[in-house]
Amino acid sequence: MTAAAQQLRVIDAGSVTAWRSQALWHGIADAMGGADAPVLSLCRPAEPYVGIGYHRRLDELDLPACVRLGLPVLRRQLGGGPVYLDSDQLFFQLTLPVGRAPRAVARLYAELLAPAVAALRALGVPAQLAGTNDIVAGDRKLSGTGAGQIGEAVVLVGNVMFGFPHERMSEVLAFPDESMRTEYLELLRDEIGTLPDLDPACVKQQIVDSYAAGLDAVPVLDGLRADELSAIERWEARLRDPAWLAGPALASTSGRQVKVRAGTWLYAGAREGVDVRVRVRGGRIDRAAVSAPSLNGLAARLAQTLVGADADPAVVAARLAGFELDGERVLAALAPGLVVR
Amino acid sequence: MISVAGYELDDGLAYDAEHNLWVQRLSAAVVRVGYDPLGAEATGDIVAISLPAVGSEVESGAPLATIEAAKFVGPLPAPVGGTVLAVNDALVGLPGAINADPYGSWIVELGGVSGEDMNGLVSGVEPVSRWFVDAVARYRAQGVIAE
Repeated sequence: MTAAAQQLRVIDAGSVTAWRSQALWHGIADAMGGADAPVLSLCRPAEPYVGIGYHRRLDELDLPACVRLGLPVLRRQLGGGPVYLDSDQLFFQLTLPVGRAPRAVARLYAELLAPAVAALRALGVPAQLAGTNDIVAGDRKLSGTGAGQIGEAVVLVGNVMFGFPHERMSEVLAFPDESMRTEYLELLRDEIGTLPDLDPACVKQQIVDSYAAGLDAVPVLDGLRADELSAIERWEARLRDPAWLAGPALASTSGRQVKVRAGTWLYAGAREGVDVRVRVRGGRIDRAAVSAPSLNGLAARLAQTLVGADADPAVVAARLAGFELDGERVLAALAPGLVVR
Repeated sequence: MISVAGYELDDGLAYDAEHNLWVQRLSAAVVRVGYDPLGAEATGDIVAISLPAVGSEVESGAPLATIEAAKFVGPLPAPVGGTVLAVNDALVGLPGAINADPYGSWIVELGGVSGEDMNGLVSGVEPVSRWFVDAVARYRAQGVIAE
C-alpha cells in the first residue's frame, strides 16, 4: 500500500449551492485516478432542491409544484428516486478508486456504509443497516444512500437528516390523485425519521473518524485539487443543462409506484379496465383496493385476498389463482407495481 | 453450447474476459455485444439501461451504455471500439431480459471494429473454458455470486 493510499482526504465544502452540493462529488469522482487516495467529502446545501436518479423519468415529479416552490431539479448520475434535499441535511460522500471498492454491490454497501452506521451509533443512535442500503433506527429510515461508478471511481453518497419536511416532499411528487399523495405523506411521517437533537459538527467529526477507522486510513483535511475543481465546474454546467436534466431515453412506466424506503411503497395501476391500488409495508401488501365494473361484485374479495400477501409476483399469483381469469386480470394490473426500483 | 462451472456458454462467440461480455461477429468488422451469463448474474437484477446514440463512436473500454442494477449505476464498458450501428431498444422497456436471457439480449451493434480489438478477446472452447472457470472461482471468492 502506498503512502497516498493510507490517507483519507477529507474535503469539507461547508454550505454550498444546490448545484455545488451535487457537482462536488461528481467532479471529485471524475477526476480520481486509480492510485489516488479515497476522498470523504461533506457539504450541506444552502438552498432546498429536488434530486432525481439517473434512470428516473421527470414525470415522476410535479414540476409545476417544484417551480412554484422555487425548487430546482437536479439529475444525479446515481440511481434511486426523487428526493427532497435542504440545509437540514448533511451530505457525506465517499469516493474511492474502482479497484479499491468491493465488486459485489451488497458487500460494497455493507462495507462502505458500516462507518456511517458506526458514527451514528457512537452518537447514541441505535442505527443499523437494513435491506441493501437503508440506514434505519427502529422502524424508521434515517439516511438515504446510493452508489455508482463515475469515471474510474466508485462513489457512495448518504445523508444525515436533522429535520425533514415530509409534507414538502409529498408536494414535489406527481400522483394520480390527492388520496395517493395523502397516503404517501402518512407513510413518510411513519417511516422517515430525523435526528434533530444531534449537533451537526459532532456528526461531521464522527463521520470523518469512523470512515478513517473503517478504511484504516489517516484523515487529512484537504482542499480541492485544480483538476477536481475543473471537473466540479464541468459538472455544475452539466447539471444545469436541460438536455442532462431530461435524462436518457427511458420507457414509459406502467402505473405509478412511489417508494418510501426498502419494503415500503405505494402502487396504483390499471390494465384492461381493472384498477388496482396497494400499499406495501415490510415487503407485504397491507392495504389493497380493486375496482372494475366487469368484476361483478368480486372486487372486494379480490382486494381482501391481496392483503397479507408478500409483494412477490409468484406469491400474489398463487393467492389469486382461485379467481381464474379475474385473478389474472388483477395480477396483470398489479404486476408492474411488484417490481421495486 | 458448452457447460462450464455450472453455466451454459456459447462457444461460438468471443468474450471480453474482464467485463464478462460476449461479442458476436456478424461480419468482418461488425459485431453484437451482450452480457455473458456470469456477467448478467454478477451485475444483479438490471432495472434500467440507457443506450448510446446510433452513430456515436466508442473506444474499447470506454462507457458503451449505463446500467442500473442492485441499487448501483455504472458504465457498461465497450469490449471493442467502433461505431454504434444499432441498439436494442427493447431492453429499455424490459432491462430484466438481460438477466433472464443474456445470449438472447444483445445490447449494441458496433461497426468498424478492428481486428486488433477482436484479437484481445477470448475465443475457442479451451481458452473460453479456462478463463470462465477462473472467473467463476474469482467471483465466488469475492462474494459477487453465490457459492
